[in-house]
Order: sequence, then structure tokens, then C-alpha cells
Amino acid sequence: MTFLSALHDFSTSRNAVLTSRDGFTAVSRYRSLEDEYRTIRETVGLTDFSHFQKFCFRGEEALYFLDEILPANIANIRYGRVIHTFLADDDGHVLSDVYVANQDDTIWMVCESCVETAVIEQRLATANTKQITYECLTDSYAAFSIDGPQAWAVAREMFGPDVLGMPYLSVELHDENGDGIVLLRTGKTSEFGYLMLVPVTQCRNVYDRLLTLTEKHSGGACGIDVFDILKLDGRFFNINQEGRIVRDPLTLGLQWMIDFQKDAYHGKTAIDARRETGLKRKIIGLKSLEQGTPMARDTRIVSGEETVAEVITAGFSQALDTQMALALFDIRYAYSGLDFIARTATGNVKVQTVSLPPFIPRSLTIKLDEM
Amino acid sequence: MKGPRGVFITGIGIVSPIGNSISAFLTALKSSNSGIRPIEGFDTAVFRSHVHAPVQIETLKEPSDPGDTETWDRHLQFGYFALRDALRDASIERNSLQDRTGLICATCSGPMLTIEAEYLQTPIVPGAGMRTDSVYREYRRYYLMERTLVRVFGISGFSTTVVTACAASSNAIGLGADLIAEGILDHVFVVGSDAFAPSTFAGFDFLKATCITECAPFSEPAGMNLGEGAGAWVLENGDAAKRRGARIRGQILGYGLSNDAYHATAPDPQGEGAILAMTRAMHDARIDPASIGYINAHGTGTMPNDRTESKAITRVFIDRLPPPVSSSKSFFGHALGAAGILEASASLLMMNDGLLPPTLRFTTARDGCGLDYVPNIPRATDATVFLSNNFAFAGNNSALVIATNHSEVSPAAHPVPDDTVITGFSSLTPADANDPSDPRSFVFDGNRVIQMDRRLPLKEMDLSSQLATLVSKRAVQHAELSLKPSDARQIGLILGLCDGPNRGEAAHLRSIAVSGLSAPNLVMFPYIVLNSVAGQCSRALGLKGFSSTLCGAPGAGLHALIYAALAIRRGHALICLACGVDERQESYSYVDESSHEDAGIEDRPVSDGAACLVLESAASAAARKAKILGRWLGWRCVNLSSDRSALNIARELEGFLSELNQSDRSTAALVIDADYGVEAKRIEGAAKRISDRIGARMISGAEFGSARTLSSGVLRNISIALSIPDGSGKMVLTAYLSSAGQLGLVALLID
Amino acid sequence: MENASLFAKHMSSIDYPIQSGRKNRIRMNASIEKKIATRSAVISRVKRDLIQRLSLSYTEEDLHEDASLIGSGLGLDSLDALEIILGIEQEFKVKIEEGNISVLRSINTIVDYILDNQTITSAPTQTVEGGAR
Repeated sequence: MTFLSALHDFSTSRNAVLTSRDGFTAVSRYRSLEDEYRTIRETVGLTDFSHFQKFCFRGEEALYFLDEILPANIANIRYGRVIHTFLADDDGHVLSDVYVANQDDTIWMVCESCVETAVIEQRLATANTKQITYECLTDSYAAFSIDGPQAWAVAREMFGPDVLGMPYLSVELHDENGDGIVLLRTGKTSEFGYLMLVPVTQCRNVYDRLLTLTEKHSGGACGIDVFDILKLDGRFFNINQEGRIVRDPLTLGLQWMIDFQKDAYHGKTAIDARRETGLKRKIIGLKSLEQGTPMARDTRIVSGEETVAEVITAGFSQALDTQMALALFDIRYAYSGLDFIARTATGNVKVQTVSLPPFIPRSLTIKLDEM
Repeated sequence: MKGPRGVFITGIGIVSPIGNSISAFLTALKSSNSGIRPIEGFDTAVFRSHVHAPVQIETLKEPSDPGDTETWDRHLQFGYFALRDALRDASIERNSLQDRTGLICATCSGPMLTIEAEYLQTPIVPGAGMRTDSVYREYRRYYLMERTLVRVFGISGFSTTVVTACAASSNAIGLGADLIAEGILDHVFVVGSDAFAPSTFAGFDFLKATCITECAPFSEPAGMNLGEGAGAWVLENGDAAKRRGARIRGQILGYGLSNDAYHATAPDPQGEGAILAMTRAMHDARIDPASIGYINAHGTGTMPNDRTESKAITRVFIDRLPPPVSSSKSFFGHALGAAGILEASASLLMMNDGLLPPTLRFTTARDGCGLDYVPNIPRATDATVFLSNNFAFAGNNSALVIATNHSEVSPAAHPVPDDTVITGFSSLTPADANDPSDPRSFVFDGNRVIQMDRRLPLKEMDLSSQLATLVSKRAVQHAELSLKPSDARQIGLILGLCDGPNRGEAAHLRSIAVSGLSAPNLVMFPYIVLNSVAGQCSRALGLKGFSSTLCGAPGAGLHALIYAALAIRRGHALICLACGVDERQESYSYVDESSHEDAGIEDRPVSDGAACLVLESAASAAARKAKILGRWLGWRCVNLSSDRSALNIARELEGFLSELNQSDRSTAALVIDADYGVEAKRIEGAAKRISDRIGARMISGAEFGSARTLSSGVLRNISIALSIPDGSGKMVLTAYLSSAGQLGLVALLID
Repeated sequence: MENASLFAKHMSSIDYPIQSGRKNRIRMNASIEKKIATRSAVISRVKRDLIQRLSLSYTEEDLHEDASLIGSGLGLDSLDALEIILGIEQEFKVKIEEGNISVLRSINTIVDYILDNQTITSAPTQTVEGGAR
């Protein structure tokens, strides 16, 4: 059974192009990827992420339960805070990009996965030896995201001026209109971002209000595909690209999501073993220095005659006005600022490794507490 | 404020960068003359700022002053001269102070110049710091000024030291006012003082908080200037003032405290803590925002403060034009612990003469600063009530509401205070945390402490903060209160300590000792202030209520308990925690100061420890059907200057007992503790007389292990006493004697 | 199921081999080797400084050079940021002007800044404004 957003019919009536994978169907895009990219990098985009898995727990035992599953320190999450981490399987391979939010003792776990919902649900159920009660709310809650340098303005109009005080990675419940919206200040594009969990019964009218406000601020609705390039040049971990392909959190550079001092979490043994051995390969960003065939998955990167990396994911970055890629580098060459050649299908292209993110997002120049 | 005819200010003493007398001070304020000068005394080449606001005290000494004042730490000299002058201003004879006269001191850095000299082996500025050969370490403690002034002026009533950094003297004024309004004391002297310390300057400068030139609050350029100085006020009960025909300088109408519970140095950008302090102050004064004619801002000149404060003021005065606002720090810099009292003095003295003090060097308003800042020149006013703000590191906020001498506002009638009850407690000793086979019974194993509650962010904290946070959370849970943000924000915290956490001071000053003034330790610098312990605890638990830190003579836990109970009686809080924390200081050893009098008294080593009691108004407890563990009956705290004999102590105890009017009640326990060995013997002697007579069980500090604590033990013993089986309906009396001769007495009723 | 085989294929990519498969490693080009040596030396110093100053519980290898430092990623706060700036200025003799928001975004951006600016000698700030000195 493929998951469909509660807004599926509404979206298709607005000429959305759809995509299906991992057991869900969602809006791939409404307009061109270039248009949607510009919307999110310059104003604000509204996206339906209802296919994210959502779980709801209550009470202290739930925190300890999650603490034994996820690699971050969940036990001491403070009220109103959100932790960004991942969920791995027993072999230490990432399954989901996870947010855990503590909204006054109601704990939300929101997952963006490279596997089907059943896999995640199964993992939680198997681990639940103490019979903690929790709910799988993937179907009963929609998830909408607003992203962009003007996202705060839309949030302010939706939720009031106090919302500007929300620190990055915090959560609030907004029930002023009786719609019970769980609001997280998050964002994976390096622009301002807010994720809203909305009960499906309210989701249409909430979406309408959001869309009106988004368009009022010169933005528009977007699909999920544009986030691949936004995460690529915004340098945020993308479970859908490098996550799906590389799988090892250490090679992916996700050490900051892990509390290595913890006694237990899924995949710890394998991850500790790899940490002990040391990394042989590392993900580094690349940009094209000249026009030519774009890099693509598996494009070889060479230094002289030696192959030093393979491209994992690539795309055209409008902010940089050139092709960009993430490549899996031999550790000896895994440094920013070096020149290499990409052997594309039709010829060689000069490329250079870059520090990521390779540009200054507009949102970085806006100070919310001065608004 | 409510009570016998209000709380009046009858004397003011000033030691400041713009003058050491009221007239000099006022002249400078009226002529817009600032006291900010280039720094001399040490090389400022590595710093971004080269100015400060210094005090000159060379001409202040008189023949009648104690002979050795030049050897005193600078902040103590300031405080002494200020109090001397305040008493003169109030026409009070210092040699014949009455009973029911108390002292509330306030400081941020205390004897920092002496402490610097200790770490660096020599003072940074030649001649600064206390010159003494004494091995007794009192000279480097933050209650040094309190003890010295009590002794020199012969003050017999309650005394304590508020150490909430930049908010300290504002808070101290409020506490003094509470004591008078509540009828406990007739006179309270409030003294706030701080001396400029190069290591403090280095910290602020490398935090980029300083201004590269003379500061321009709310304008350009941004940044603060450090100042120094002292202010002293004589607060007086209206009846007493009237009886002696005292000249009234002003009246304290109310005050409010809060904690940001946000960050060690940065203010909460939403200004919630500041809003809470101002709102609570006006509520305490029973005054409408419309009645406030002027606001003296904290106005340091830094971008975060000025912007947050302006936003907070706008939100407090929502729907109306806020009154004019100005910053006196533009005149005399940031005097830290003395800031509150000097700024309130500037406001009061100017407004008594019909003028608003201006904000100097105001050109264009900075972004986010859109109020009327009374630029550059004093302005005529007929306003008679003002609000004075002070916001500190570690999140402590204080606001005062004060009326001028020609105001017609009368003190507000407060409702009859409710009973105060105890609804929870918790305590921790090393025995609770350490490995049972561990022979050290008086120091916590840091690694084990972190394991004691995985829900709390203990790993980032120093030991004192870890302990305070643990016991506070457990006490709150014992009281069955929720720590959800909406509930926690109402809960107050009064924390008492003797020595603060050593970690911050040691890291910062060692770094400077090794690498010079250009190497302050920025990560540790915010943790030098003693209120950082309560700050970290408040932040971890979300406590934004009535919040203060007291550094007492040992027995500070009792001070915290007294202030928490007072806060509930005065209606400042419905729920307030009283916490005592001890962290054994390795950097110095404990010496029995009176061992020369009584050879052979074996002193117990000082232990780590923490304890917390939850105090609550009876109505609040009843409304949530809380279990009541004890009821507050009363307290007394006196400084026994000369006669500290067991006999005199017994007399005080008897007097206290009869005052309680509970002769039909039996006493279940008499809890006693003391500072050093000799005091313990004296108080034991006194207590034995009483306990034999009233048949109470004695619980002494010595009972709990081979170690003693300075602030937490007494609170822990009270909680033990409240749990005595078959104790219901019986009293618990607590008596504490410090090495300075302060006797603290508290009576509770076991429920 | 289609998804299962896709999944299985992905599962095997963890030890994604370098396709050249040649046993004898080619010697690194000299100019790249030099650049790498310079950069990795600075990276190592920056990481050691960060770990020590902020008491981080990560090793040098744990810290990916592109991981975000402030806000997301390591989640350091404004006070930590000041301490980092102080450390960089002292250790590497560079000057970071206030308001430069992009230097501290990651270890790579710090290293980029150091490598770009290290040749400029920084004189201590001597402001001579308004008679302050």
C-alpha cells in the first residue's frame, strides 16, 4: 500500500508532477526545478512532506527507550528542544534522518527514510521490550515545511511575533485556532525552515492559509525533488542521495549526531569498530571549473592517472552557477581546494574540491531577533 | 510597600567616578560631566578598549576612621566610606546604632583585586589588593565587606551579602525594603560596592563587550565601559523616621526579581526575564505602568542589552508611550555590584530636584532602540515615581520602583500574608553518590554525579551547579510539582553559598597568571560570578521566578531559607526553593579562626554537599492538594558582636522561643550547627540548656559524618528533623552560629 | 520486490571500492602533495585547538571539516564562537573582523580564512579616537 498525502488529490488538481519510491508517492515538483530552487533560496517555498514517518511517545521511559535506539543523547533533551540525529540498523547503516522533539513531555520522532515505513516501524516494535506505549502517526498527521529567507515572515503571520524567538532546533505547540500544530524550527537547506505537524483533519485549511501567506511573500508551493540540490549546495545530509548510497554514518560525516560515550544504540558495535579502524574514504564537495558534461553518479575523479574518487550525487547549483557534486574520496586526497579532473561520459572536465557550503545563504545575513 | 508606614530612604552615601559626595555627584549629573577616563596603571595595548571609570578615594579618610583602611581591599574601602557618609547624611550616630538595624551588602567581584594578587603572586596594579599577612582566608571571601562593616559599625541585626553580579545592589535594596516592610527591622543599611579589576576588564574586552571609546548607550558606538564605586543607603521604617524627624530622600514602593534561564552571558533576546522583573516590581508596588514617569535603564551600551531592554520596555508599556529612559552608565560606566544603587541614587537625587538624568554621547539611535533616551542634557520633569532596571550575567534581573521625596504616593496595602509551608526537600552528601568503599567521605566523585540523572545536562556544569540542579529537581519532584515550562517559570530560587565554584575563577586567573592579561579564559569567565551556580540550575530546570543568590557567613543556606520564606510572605512568589550548596575548595585549607582561643578543638574537614527545601504559600499548596511537610513559624538573625558566650546565645534562644508564642507546643528537635569548632561548642552549650528544659532531641552538624558543610548541612538537618517519626504537631528549632558571631534561628512546625 | 533488490544493492555499497583496482599506488603529484600537507597541518592545529578550548569529547578524526559548528552540527553557541575566534587570532596571528559571519561556519571555512590571511601580519589594535589615549 503506497502512502499518499491527505493532500494528494488537491496537489494533482494543481498539476503536480508526482514521484514514487520507498513506499510513498509525493509531489516531485510543481514548476521547474530551477524555479523552485530560486523560490527557496530567495523567498519562501511550501512543501508537503507528509510521507515522513511520525511517532509520538509520552513520558520519561519513552526518552530512555529512544536513547537506546538512536545514537544521540536523547535522555537529556530539554523541554522545547529538537535533536537532529539518525537511525541505523544493527549493521550500523543509516535508515533514516531523524528529528526528536520534546514538546512538554510529548516526544515526537520524525523520520525521513531511505527505506519503507514498515522497516522503521518494525525496528521500533522489536526494540520495545518494555512495552512502552507509542503511536505511529504517519497517516494521521500531515507534515508541511516552509523554507527560505522569508520563511520567518510567513511563520510570524501564522503564529504571531513570538515565533521569531524560537531558537534553531526548537519545538512549540500552537493550538490557538484549535488546530493543534506542532511547530519545529528546523530546515535542511541552510535557509530558515519550519516544519509543521498538522492533524489531517485540519491539514487542508492549514495548507491553504500557508499557501496564501507564502504567495503573499512572493513564494510558492514546491515539490520534494528540489531539496536534493538544496541539500547539496546547502551542505545538509541527504538521506535520499548520499545516505542511500554510502550508508556509513562515519564516511558520511555524521559523527556530530553521535554521542560516542553512550553505552547502547542501534548499530553501535559496527560503528565503533569502523571508528576504531579509521576512515579510508570521505565525502568531499566538488564544483566544476568549466562548462562541459555534468558530473553524475559514478563519474570518476582523477588526479593524473590515479582515480581518487567517485561521484555519489551531483546537480547544478544556481547559487554557484556551476555543477556541483559530492564524491567519495580516498582519504589521502580528501581535502578542500584541490584541482582534479572529472572523467564524464563525453570528456574531461576540470573540477575543484570546495569547502561546503560553498556560498553564503541569504538567511545567514538576516538576524531574526532584530525583526 | 505594605507595613508600618512604608520604607523610606533617609541617607545616601556615594563613592563614584563622578564624585564622592552627593553634591559632587549631583553637580556632575546636572552638568553632563562623565567620569570615563583613560586607563592608567597597566598596559592596555592588547585590548580594544582603553578607558574605564575610576574612583579617587585618597582624600576620603578621616581621623575617626579605622587606622588600617589603606590595607583593606579596595572594594571594602569604597563600601566603608559610602556607609560612613550615608549615616552622616541620615544624621545617625554610628556609635549608637539601635537594635533592629541590619545590613545588606552587595557585590559582583568582591575582593577580586586580592584574589588576583593571590593567583599572580603579586597585584596587577601595584598597591591594589588587601595587604595582610593573615593566614585566615576571610579576606578573599565575598562576605568580607559584610563582616567588616558589621564589626566596625556595630550592626546587630540581620546581615547578608547579595551576589547577583550586575543586579546585586538593586536586589539588596529590595531585600532591605522587604525586611522593613515586614516589620522585622527598623533600619537597614544597604551597601553595594565593586572595585575595577584588570582581569575582569580583560574578560569583558575579549568578549568584545567593551566599547572602543567612551560608551554611548542606545547609540553609537556600541559597547560598555567598566566602572567602579560604592553606594550606600539608609532605609528606615516610616514610624522611626517620623519619630526622629529624619530628612526623607525617597521611598521604596516595590521591587521584582526574575531569572532569564537562558544563557550565561547573553540576555534572552525576547526579553522575557526583563519583562518579568519590571512587571513584578510594579505589581509589588501596586502601581500601574501609567504612573511610572521615568525608567533608569540597565543600559550598558552593548548591543544585546540595549536592544533587548528597549524591546522589553516596549512590551511592558504596551498600548502606551513608554516613559523617558536613560542610562547613567554613560556617566560612570558599569559599576557591577554597585551599579544598581548608584544608578538608583542618580535617578532619585536628580528627580528630587525636578530633573531627569540624561544619556550622554547620544547621537543617532541604534537599530532596535526606538525610545526617548533623554539625550545628553538633563530634562525638567514633574514625575515622582521611577523604575530602575538591572540585568546580570547568569540571568538575574532586578527592577525597583521608587518614589521621590515630594511624591504623594503612599505605600501599597498588601493583603495579609498567607502562611508559608514546606512541601518538599532533598539533600545530597558524598556518601549518597560515591562508591561505598571510597574512603573520602567528603568529596563527590564527579563521574558518578553525572550519572545521577541522565535527564539533566550535568556534564557541562561545575560541581556546585550539578549539585544545586540535582537537589532542586529532586526537591521539586518530592513536592510533586511539575517542571514543564509553563509551571517552572513561576518557581523561584534563592541559593546560599559560602564559597562559589572554584572552576571559573581558577581557570580564568591561572590563564592570566601564566600568559598575561591578553589570555583571559572566555569560556570560564562567565562562571566566576557566584550567581552562576543558581544561573545554571535555573537554566537547566527552566526556573524564571523570584531569583537571588546570597553569600553568607557560613550558614548561607539558612539565609536562603529566610529569604525564600520572606519572599512568599511578601507575595513575591507562590513557590520558592531555598537551596544551599557547598563545594570544598582545594585552593585553600580551612583554618579554625578561633583556635588560638581554645586549643585542642579538633576541626572537622569541610565537605561537599547540597540541600534544597521547597517553600510554598499555604493557599498554593492547598489548591493543588500538596502534602505539607512543615509550616514556617518564624525566624531571628542577629550579629552578636561582643558577647558570644553560651549564656548569651541561650538568652537569644529563649527570647526567640517566647516571641513565637507557641509555649503549648513541644519541640521535637533542636537542630544546631556552627562554623568552626569553638562556635560549635558554644552553641552546643546553649542548646543543651534549652533542649534539656524543653525535652527536644538535639541534631548537630557533627552527627552527619566526619565532615561538616557550610551552607547545605543546616538545610539537610532541617529536612531530617521534619521527618522525625511521631513529630507531627511538634516544633523544629534551628540555631546556627557563624565564626563572625552571627546567630541564625528558624522555627518550623512539623505537620 | 523491486525495492528490496534496490535496497540490497545499496547495502553492498558500504565498502565501495575504488574502481582503478591497481595494486601499485601511483605516487602523488608533487604540487597536490604540498597543498595537502599545508592544509592538513592547519586543519590539525585548528581541530586540536577546538577540542582543547571547548572540551569537546570528539577526536580529530571525528570532526568532519565541513560539519557545521554554530547552530546546527556541533551546535556551539555565541560564547564558544568568541572563544574560537580568540584562539584562531592568537594561534595563527590573523585578525577576524567583527561582523564576519562566514568564517566560523565549519573547520574548512576557518582553515580557508587562515590560509588566505595568514601572510598579513596583524598589529595590535591601537585606537586613537576621541582622546581616549
